[in-house]
Amino acid sequence: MNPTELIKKAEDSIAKVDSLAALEDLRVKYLGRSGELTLYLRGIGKLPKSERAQAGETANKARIRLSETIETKQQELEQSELAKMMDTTNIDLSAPAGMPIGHDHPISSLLNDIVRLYWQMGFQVVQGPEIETPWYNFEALNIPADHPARDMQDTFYLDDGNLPRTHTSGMQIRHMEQTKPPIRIISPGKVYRNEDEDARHIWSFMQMEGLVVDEGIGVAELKGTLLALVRGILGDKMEIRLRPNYFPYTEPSIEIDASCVVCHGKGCGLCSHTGWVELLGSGMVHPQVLKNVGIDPVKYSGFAFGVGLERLAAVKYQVPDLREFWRPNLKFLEQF
Amino acid sequence: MKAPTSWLGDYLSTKVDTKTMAEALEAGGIEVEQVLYAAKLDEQIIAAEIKKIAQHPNADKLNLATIFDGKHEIQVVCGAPNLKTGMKVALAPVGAKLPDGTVMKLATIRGESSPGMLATAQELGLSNDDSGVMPLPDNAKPGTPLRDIFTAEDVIDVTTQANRFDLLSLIGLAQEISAQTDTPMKMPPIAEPTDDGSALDIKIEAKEAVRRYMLVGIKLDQSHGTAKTAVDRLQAAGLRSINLAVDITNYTMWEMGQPLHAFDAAKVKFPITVRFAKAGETLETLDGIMRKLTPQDLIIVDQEGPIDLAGVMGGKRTEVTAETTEILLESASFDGTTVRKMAQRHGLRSDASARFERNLPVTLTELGLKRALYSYQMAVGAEQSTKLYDELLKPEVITKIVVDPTHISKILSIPVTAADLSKQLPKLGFEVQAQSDSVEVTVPWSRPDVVLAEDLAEEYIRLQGYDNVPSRLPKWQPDAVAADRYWPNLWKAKDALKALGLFEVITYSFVSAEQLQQFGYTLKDHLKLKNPLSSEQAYLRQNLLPSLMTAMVRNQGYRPEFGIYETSQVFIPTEPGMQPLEPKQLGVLIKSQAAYQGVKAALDRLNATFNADLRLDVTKHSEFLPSYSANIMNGKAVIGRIGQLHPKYLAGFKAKAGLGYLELDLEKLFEASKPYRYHPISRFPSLYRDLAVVVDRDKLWQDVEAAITSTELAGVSFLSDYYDDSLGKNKKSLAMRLEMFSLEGTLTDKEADKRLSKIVVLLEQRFGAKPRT
Repeated sequence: MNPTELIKKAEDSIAKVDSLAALEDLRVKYLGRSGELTLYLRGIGKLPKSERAQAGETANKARIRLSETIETKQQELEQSELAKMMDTTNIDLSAPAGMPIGHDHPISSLLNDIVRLYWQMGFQVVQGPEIETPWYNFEALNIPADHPARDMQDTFYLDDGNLPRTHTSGMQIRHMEQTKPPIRIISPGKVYRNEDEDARHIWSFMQMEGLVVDEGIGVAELKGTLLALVRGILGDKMEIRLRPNYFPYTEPSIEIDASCVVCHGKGCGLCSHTGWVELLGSGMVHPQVLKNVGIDPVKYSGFAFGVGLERLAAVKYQVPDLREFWRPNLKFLEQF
Repeated sequence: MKAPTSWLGDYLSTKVDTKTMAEALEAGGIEVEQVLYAAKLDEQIIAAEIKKIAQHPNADKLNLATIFDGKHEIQVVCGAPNLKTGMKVALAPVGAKLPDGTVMKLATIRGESSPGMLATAQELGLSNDDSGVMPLPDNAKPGTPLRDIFTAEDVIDVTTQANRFDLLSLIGLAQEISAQTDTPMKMPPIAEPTDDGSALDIKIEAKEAVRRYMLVGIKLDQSHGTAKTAVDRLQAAGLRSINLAVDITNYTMWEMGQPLHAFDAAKVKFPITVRFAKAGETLETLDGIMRKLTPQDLIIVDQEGPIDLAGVMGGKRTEVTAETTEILLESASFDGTTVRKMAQRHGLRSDASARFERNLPVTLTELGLKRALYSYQMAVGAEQSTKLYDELLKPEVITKIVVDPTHISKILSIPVTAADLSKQLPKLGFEVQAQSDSVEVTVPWSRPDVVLAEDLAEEYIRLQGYDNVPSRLPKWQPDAVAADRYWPNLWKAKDALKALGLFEVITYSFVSAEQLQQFGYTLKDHLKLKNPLSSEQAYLRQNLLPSLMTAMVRNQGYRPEFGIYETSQVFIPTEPGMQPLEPKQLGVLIKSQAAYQGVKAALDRLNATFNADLRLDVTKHSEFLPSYSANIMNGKAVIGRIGQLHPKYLAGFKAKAGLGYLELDLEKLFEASKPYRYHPISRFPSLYRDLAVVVDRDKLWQDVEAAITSTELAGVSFLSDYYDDSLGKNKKSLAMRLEMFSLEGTLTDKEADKRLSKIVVLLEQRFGAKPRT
């Protein structure tokens, strides 16, 4: 067959092709290593010299034309295959993929949020021993051995007289012994109380205390700092209310209520229709506590506060039973 | 303390309603636990008398009580622990409606029918006492509607803070309401004792434990019993009417806060001594219990022996009964700590001891006695029968505080002037005298808790409320800031573990003997609580494995494969009396078919996260399978361990999967972190060679890798390890990919092959490795 006939035959076949694979087969058939046109081109050398130039030119033109036709057809077919593919669904885009992520414990997430919040306010985070001496846990905090307030904090003891701390206040004392004002710290950590458990009381919990000592510190600074805590953790709409209370290490001692996270003060079941929930204890540092660590209570004043993180988390996530946080039950923990 | 509000109202000059009273107390920072509003009882609820008590045939904790309801004897089922034959009780028969709306129905309890219920005070809405059925006065007539026996009262129940004895009295509470509502107080009248009669022979030996001691004889006629209003009030306050003589002591204690004790004068043999007990002495107290006394017990003794556990409970021998015609009325102030410890020792925290342990002022001793004397006179025309004995050992100290109002103003962050203090503080009984730039405040005897200017600031703000205090953040000008690296490191570690799908848990620091022994740990190596809540939480853990194991067993059905981790301080004992070491530990426990690989993945992630160079040192730990057990090293320091738990420790663990455990000292992990350093990157393409070598099984990949890397001939990555006897006894194959490049130009195949053979030689010399062909 001469090139013209070959081209015609090839172009007829190409026009009928409807897949890239079939087109590739045709390309091989004509232009492949042993394709018909390739073989023809190779055969030109055997032609009489006078015919070679003409035949060569014709064949080469045919090769180029055929290549172009195939190329065009290929693009057409690619377009249509792409269109077809784009029209076909063989995936559930919403199906889960990859490894499931783990879970931070809700109490430690809450603590992390608190740490970041207090860093914004320039507080340092201090940590210390969970097994304390009676001095750091009680005496230095204005709670001498016979003080009835020791009954308020039922205490575990070790045989040697040291004790699992009942609050993290011991760290405040240790910090004040080392550092002179201005002081602003928070001290988070586990604390232990020897008391029976129920939905609202747990014998081992995570506490976070704070302390600010400087010149010119009054109740207004306490209020601002705790409002920042409550809004930072529970939401910008929150309000707080200060009420008198009694703790041996603060004077005046102040109970902080937060507006109810559910009804925002209107009254609902969660807040026993008062609009407020008790959240944390605070107060101005007792002058005797400052004296105990060698800080002049005439020049300096300060405030301190303490909050149970389970209590705060229970309010934030509306968990009815504080014991859930310590069980540990993965069905509970996977919710956070 | 339960305060019936009609009674509380006696000490206020004008009527204040219950709600206002409760709000006033709360505004003053006094915790109102509950406000009980009086509900009129259904008249079907009647008094009944218990005739017979028998055990319920089908329930150990239930009784069958035969009771007389005024007409018939009926049998009811009752589980209360305080039933006694002859006791008068409240019966709610079928059809009666309780204050909470419940209508009684015929019930059959464990096969015995019960046509009614014996009610507790709580069920009757009379107090929150639900410890047993409510006992009625002995003279209650069966069949009488209860509403004719008790007039229900509104009651405010307050929790009293430890430093305020005065709030354990109605006059103290009235003082607070008076101050908050600007309602003047009305003090109850008192009677002055006469100087007639014979003197009492009394000796105070334990002078250090007695602040004041007063005793006086009173003749009285009890035949008319206690007035109904007083009985109602005592009932509403949670006290029980006993007899007139005793009722007045209780009534006065509630009014004034001063506990009083009455002895039957006919049963006391003078002289009386107040002293500490001698070892071996005993005293039968009013509750019928014979108590062994110790030299720490303060007692009142007559000629025949102990008659009173001072401040805690009287003795049976000198008990006042309805027939008593002359009493010895004792009013005293005993040392608070002494009484508190006695009450604790004898398990007898009474209304009296709760007051004495707050160190009652000696002025109150006198006031309480005089008020009771007045009440005895008014109630039954009683007469003083002896001279009053009064020994005052610790005279009252009156506190005067000189304070600059600007100091109070600074504490409270609101303007406070001398005039403000002079106007407000007297409402709480303080006397204020303005001086030039300060005020002198005289503290009333009833408020010994107030000693400092800060205390006065609190009194002032209790009246003003905190609503006007502004809110602002403290100013702050520190000299320097210490960067806190602990928390960012902690968060990095937790994020790495979270990305592996692990759950963070928090578990108790105290564990049981079983939890420790499960892993073969020796109990006596652990610190132990002297007073644990339960044996479940008695020992201080030294590592997290026992707690994580318990959590794992409890959650084992959660998923076929999962892992948990905890970070917590653990407790390593040092010298006795010294605080233990408390390293912060990370524990990871993973349940998986490939348990070791699970924890190794966690270790590898942490190692990479902190850019550390942690190595394993194959070391056997008893908790782990012998071939799956290693220490984790940072240089020469052991900073943790890793392994797969030995099956013998998997008691209670049902799954077929294994458990991998990783333990790291968190702060040592953070210290292992190395700074990142730049290494030059070649512009020329790398050449790769795969290499497999046969080595002894105890040769570790980590060492092969380090040896190759240190030559700088090639980078190396792990492909696989393979174990088969065909490799030779105790041999394994390690396959790796080597990446070679040069910073100067493209590496030729020839150069690459040269480097490869150098590496092969090195591995042979160092590890006896033979290339695998």
